[in-house]
Amino acid sequence: MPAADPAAQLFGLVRLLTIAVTWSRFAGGATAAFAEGPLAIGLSVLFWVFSILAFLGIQARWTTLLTGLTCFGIYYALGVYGPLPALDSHHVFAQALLTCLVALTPCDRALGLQNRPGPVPLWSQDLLRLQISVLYLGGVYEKSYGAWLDGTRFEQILHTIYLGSDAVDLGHWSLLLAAMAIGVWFAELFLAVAVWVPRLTGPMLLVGFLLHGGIYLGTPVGTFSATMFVLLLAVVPPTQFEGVLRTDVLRSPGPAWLVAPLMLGPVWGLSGWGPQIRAFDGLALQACDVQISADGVPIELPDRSQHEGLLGVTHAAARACRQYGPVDVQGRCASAEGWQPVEWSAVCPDLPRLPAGRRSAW
Amino acid sequence: MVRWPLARIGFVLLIWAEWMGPLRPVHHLQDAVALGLGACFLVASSALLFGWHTSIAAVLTGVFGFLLWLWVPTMANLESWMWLSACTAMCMVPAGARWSLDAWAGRVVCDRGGGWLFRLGASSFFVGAAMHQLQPAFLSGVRLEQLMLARFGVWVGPPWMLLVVAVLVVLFELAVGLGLWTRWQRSAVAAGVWGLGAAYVSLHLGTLGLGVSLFLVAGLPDAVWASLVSSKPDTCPAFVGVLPRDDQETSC
Repeated sequence: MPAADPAAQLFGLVRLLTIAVTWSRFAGGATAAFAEGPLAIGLSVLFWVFSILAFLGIQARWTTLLTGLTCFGIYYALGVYGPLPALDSHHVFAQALLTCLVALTPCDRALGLQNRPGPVPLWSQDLLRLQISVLYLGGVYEKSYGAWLDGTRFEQILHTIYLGSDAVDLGHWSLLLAAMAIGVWFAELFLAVAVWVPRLTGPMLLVGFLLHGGIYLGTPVGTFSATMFVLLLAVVPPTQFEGVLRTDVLRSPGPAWLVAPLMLGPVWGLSGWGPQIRAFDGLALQACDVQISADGVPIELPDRSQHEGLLGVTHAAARACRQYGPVDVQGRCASAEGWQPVEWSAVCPDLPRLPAGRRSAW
Repeated sequence: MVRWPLARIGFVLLIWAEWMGPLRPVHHLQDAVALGLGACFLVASSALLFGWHTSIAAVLTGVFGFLLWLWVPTMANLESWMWLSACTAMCMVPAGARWSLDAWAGRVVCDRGGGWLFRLGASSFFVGAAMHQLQPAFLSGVRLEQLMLARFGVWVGPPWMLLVVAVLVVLFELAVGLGLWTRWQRSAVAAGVWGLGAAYVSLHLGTLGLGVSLFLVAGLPDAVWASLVSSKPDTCPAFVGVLPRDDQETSC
């Protein structure tokens, strides 16, 4: 049975984790409320369809591959050549690459709604090993220079993220930074080699977790640590993975009701019976629907000013006022209780006015 | 028994995703209590992720997590409460039975019969949401109109449609939340997952949609899970809405 095969289980789990990390990276930006323009909406739809099918294990290898290709599409079309520079990152590239590489593994043999039968070939693991080795050796090569190895680069990162713009004399602590820098250099070299040595699997996972966990906590790297950790998990030899597949389960009923009050938290917090915990903040929205006019002539408002609620309308009224003189604001704005009527007039300092004609507060 | 190990990994990753920003030490350099609690939480939740003395790790993740929730205002929200309660409940299910250091070491893992806690968590979310929305501002459609204006800048339909949708939303939430305890549990789970998915791709839900879905799916009956992850290949319906029934022999 393929699903009981440790290799099948390993690659099935790696597929689930890869899609989970991919969602964590892209999902926020791929929702309809963010995607703007036909290209972004199209890529978002493809991303959701393929990644959900891959997660559920329906035609898993194909849908994982298509998810990876869609991630590359998002990276190039929206990031590198598109309007979202945040997506133009080697972390995004690594995530798309990992997804495509996982599609080459037999990740459709277990943990899906359609588990394909058949043997579980392992050649794709060597490809993943090669990828990891190249990645870490690149990191080692890039760090093989004086300013990294003596801790200067670390000090710079420390200043950028923690200490602020004023230079701080670190004294003997700079020795610790140098030791950490050399430690990172050795850790990367070790990982580049250890992926090829089955006996070093345990230390490889431990070093990988400590290295990437430390980077994750110390610096803003987003999902990159998780990506690398899934990559490391994907090259664990299946014979060693067998050990974590099953253990004896003893049925011994315990006081589960002790935990039950925690589960009732949402009722307690949402209903207003208990102290309010932040919930459905999205519904306490800023939004207005107003008309601004000067001398009875309506003024064209930018959409944003309406979305930004009272603050946006106030800014727009002030801009209009400076250009056209006293303005009247009429309409409604959202509050926690619902729509509230808005009706006020604004008088501005006597500034030069623009001539009459089509009026806009852009 | 892959359900609880999967849920264990899922909920730890969810709380990490939710607290990705505020958990970083850089945000708490002036607050020794938060730094200490954060370090303890990270150790405990890492032990839970890797299944090292899973039950104890689950309890400690809950203890340090809820202390952080109380201590750091930016970490206190509904989502983190729910993912923390799920991590804590891992002490009542055999969460370390697979993909864990406990399994690696051959330790016996206890099933304390807490599977129903996840059904309670999902139910509590839907019922709580419905109670939150049983107020004139929501039922009259005003809040949905606000939502549409703020998210998309426009509402093109007639106003009465918002009123109908608002009432339907509340009824849907009540049906899912209470239906989980009836013989229509499978349909309630499927409806809940589809509803959350639709809300996820159209609004800004963060980790909420994924996490409540995990609550729903983890709370399914044993027989459904056994058939979902059975090794017999290729014949399972490729549609989540069609979950197999308890009493049905299935070849999925």
